[in-house]
Amino acid sequence: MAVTASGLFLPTWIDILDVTQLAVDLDAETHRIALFDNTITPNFSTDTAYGVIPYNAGEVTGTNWPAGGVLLTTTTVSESPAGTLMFDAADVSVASATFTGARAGLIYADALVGNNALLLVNFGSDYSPNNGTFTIQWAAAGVFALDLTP
Amino acid sequence: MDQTLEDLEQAYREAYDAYAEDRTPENRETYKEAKRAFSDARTYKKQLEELDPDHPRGRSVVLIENGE
Repeated sequence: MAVTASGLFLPTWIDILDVTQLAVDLDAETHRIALFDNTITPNFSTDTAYGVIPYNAGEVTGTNWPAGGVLLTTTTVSESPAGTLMFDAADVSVASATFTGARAGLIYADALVGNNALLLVNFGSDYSPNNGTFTIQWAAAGVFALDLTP
Repeated sequence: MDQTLEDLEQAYREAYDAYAEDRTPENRETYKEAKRAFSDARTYKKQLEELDPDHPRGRSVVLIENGE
């Protein structure tokens, strides 16, 4: 069991685009990032939501990092660079945090009843702040980017 | 008048809220323009930081691509 990749969850994105018309507003400041350890094994083709297998176990919580995670703020979905759809957000920064073994961040639509999983970010290694500032710096290219004109 | 990133962020959020409340074509255009201005400014700021070896963003640049 392990996190080996970052990715977007196909079930959710298909539901956004097909007749399901899942109402996901990426500009809304209602999406959360929850932390998980390396015991989970994500499957971007079948995983659906926070709180649903495998995201019903292995969640990392602690001081100043609650279950369910924290909100992403100043979220934007835009074209950057030309031909590329970019989802971006303010860097996540939590002071005086203490938790153990955060290997990945699950971003999900907390405003929706289904807590639909949007994407997973693989940190690449475990992070365990001890009363320190835990920061996730999103790259200039954003949280994720889709080149729609390759 | 030069606007700070914070000014652009506030303008974006206000435009978002206005459009969410009243979906007129005018509000939509304002929201799109405000988002574009803020998003571009934030991206440019981060690009500069990534080039600065004295900035945390420049000291540790990890680009995670889908599948990594």
